[in-house]
Amino acid sequence: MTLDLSSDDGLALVKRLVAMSDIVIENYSPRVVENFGLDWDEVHRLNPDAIMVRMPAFGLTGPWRDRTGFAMTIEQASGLAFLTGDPEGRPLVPRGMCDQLGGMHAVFATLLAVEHRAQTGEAQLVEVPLIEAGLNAAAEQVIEWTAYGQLLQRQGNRSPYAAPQGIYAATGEDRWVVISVDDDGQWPALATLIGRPEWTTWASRAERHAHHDEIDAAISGWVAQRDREAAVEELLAAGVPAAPVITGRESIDNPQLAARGHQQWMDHVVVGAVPYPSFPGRFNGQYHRLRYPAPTLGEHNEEILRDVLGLDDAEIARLAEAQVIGTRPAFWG
Amino acid sequence: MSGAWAAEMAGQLLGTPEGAVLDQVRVLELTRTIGGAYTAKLFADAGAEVIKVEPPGGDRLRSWSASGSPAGGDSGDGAFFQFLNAGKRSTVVNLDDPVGRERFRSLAATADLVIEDLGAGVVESMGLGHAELAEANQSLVMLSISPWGRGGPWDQRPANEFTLQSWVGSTHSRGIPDEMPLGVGGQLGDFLVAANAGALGLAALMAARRDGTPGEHVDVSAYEAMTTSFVVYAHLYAAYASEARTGATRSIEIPSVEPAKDGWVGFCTITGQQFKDFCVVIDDPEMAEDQRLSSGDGRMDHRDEVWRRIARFTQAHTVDDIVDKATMLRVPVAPIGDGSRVAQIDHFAERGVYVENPGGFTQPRVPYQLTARPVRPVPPAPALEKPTMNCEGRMAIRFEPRAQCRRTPSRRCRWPGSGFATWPRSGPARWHRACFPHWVPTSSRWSPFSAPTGCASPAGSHATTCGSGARLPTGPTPASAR
Repeated sequence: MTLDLSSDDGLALVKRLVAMSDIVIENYSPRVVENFGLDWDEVHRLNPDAIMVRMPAFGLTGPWRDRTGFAMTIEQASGLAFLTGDPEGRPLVPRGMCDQLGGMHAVFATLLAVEHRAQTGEAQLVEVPLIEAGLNAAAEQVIEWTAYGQLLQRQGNRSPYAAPQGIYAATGEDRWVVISVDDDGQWPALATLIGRPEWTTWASRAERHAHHDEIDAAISGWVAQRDREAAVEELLAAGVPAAPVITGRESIDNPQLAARGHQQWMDHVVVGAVPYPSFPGRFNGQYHRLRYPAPTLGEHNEEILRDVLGLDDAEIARLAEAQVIGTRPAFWG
Repeated sequence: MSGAWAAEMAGQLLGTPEGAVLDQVRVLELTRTIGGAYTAKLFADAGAEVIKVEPPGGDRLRSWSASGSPAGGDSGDGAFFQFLNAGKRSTVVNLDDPVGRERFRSLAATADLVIEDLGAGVVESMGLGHAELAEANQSLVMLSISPWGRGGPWDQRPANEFTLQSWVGSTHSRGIPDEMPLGVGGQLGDFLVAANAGALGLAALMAARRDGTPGEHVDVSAYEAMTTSFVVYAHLYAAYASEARTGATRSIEIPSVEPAKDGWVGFCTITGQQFKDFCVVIDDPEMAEDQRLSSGDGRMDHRDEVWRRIARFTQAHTVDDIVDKATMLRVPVAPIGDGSRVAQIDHFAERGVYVENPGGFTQPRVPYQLTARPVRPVPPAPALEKPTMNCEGRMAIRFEPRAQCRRTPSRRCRWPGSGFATWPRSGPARWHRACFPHWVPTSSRWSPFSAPTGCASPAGSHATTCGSGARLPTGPTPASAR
């Protein structure tokens, strides 16, 4: 639904909704809801049972409090970008994962608050700054620095977690194969596959790191003679983690997703039937299904105002006329 | 009933102010990946008793350091291990041995949640799948994390965080056209999968703690978690957007990470207005008017020119000065953090984001704050159970299967007056240790390091010799995740 919170009507209506809600979630920069007078104290006054979850980019306090931040800002500040890209080149942003990372930490924290309320009857304010989930995902960098004085660096497609690891050109234009040996047990099979069975003696990741250039040359030669899909098939059959470098579009035809039933087709009011992703896990073999497709802007204005708040048609029409509610962004005119 | 006793009961049953939210929850952790360990850390940080079940020789992360610094053995547990496992407890169980599997079953009978990431079908092949474990403990939730999830034609395919990045279509999109694509460094995917798994697992746990609800098997697919986070969900996107857009070649953001006089500085211009404001920041208002450069694709096409014009300003100024100016103009901006710098940033210092681990290093605190619950100092990670102290069957002594607990609640379990009706949403009282006095209270809970010297065999267990006859468990570590 839409509500113009800068109007008296809009603010009064949102306060009535707060009074009826279990959880209030917001992720504007902190000043926004506070400027509307909807800080924790007010939410708690309106509804002592409501849990409030606030997800600012950087936190409700501190010198960066009112800064705008997106997932990519988080990736830049946290160190995640510093580890991505070529060693000689600039750091690259991973590009957006920190949104879901922060969001799922917020779900976890919100459930804890629900459990706390069930145990004690007490509602509380939950603060989940987007950056702090990112800092935990990047924690290893600070830990290595403060424990060992070692500054972790970006290594292109190599990695401390796996060796050999890289992306290798197959036949054809812009066709690549990813290989990542993260378990010592996978190495003999790969060494044999690329025609270097004598290298199986490099049994540890550290030894293979020491010979990474040699190994890469041999893998490159092997992959260069093969079609992308054929190379990946051979590698997987040998027990070596591998993948073709495919576009998002190509990733759609994935038999695993289809077999698990991850997609949920729903009719969207504008574009018709579209496949929505379920949560990434099944419960006793079943996905918890979404109840609704994504709403259009203000799609449920009337339903909520009439059925939840008990407004009559004349009142709803007045709100629409006054542009307190609407179904298109105000700045589009 | 004395008032003092009632107050004590109220404190226990309602959660004392010092108590953590999940302090009535026992979790068994059977993991070998960073993501699995972090999932269990989420529960440990929320106060659950997490028992890490390690193979003989210990979790391989004990000897892990990304820089190759000495870790494990005489060097002590690696720092990253200590971060991931702070506040957990540990025991060694050899799951390749029938006796070890029986021990695991005994532990699982007392647990609320089992977290495992050994790979699709592995715990099932050992007779430790959810169905088997739930026979003795019907409210048990099992949270399984595997690359592809269980079932489907690919569930035995070898995969890891790096190859999954490519399978979801993320790797292809990153880098310079005509050059090699670039994956994301670190283990961001593992943390994303863990955050998803933690949320789904906690939801299932809360459901199972309601009276009479059997625990579920939560089967998390890393691929599915990453396909909705490492890329715009391509399936949905394809339904809205044209073929041409979804097959676009790779790119990097411009502007994004740019060179300053004294380090890197990061920008993010999502909206057209933010890009125009960015042009003001770098004293290049002409760029804002240049139609060629108004879109990300256009800037990518002319990247050498754009990078040159950006660097003309950024290389002449310090990170701090650039950040101040961009902040004033409300352009999202940040210094580029790295291991040596990020914990020094004043914003994090003022908020107390970085804390000391008892292992003698700095780590970020839990990434959320519940204002009604105090934040605790980071506890130590558990040492590896000494093999010479190991005594098969010992662990089962202090625990009873939950099914039996439920049939014989203590009379002290009654809540004076209002009964259990005061907890309509979940049933913490049902599980409270006061109901089950043979569940050892927190202060004297079972510890692998305080076992009696003589090892009495519990009835029905397969305890082997003890004391001087203690044997070093042998056997390979659990089968690797595939």
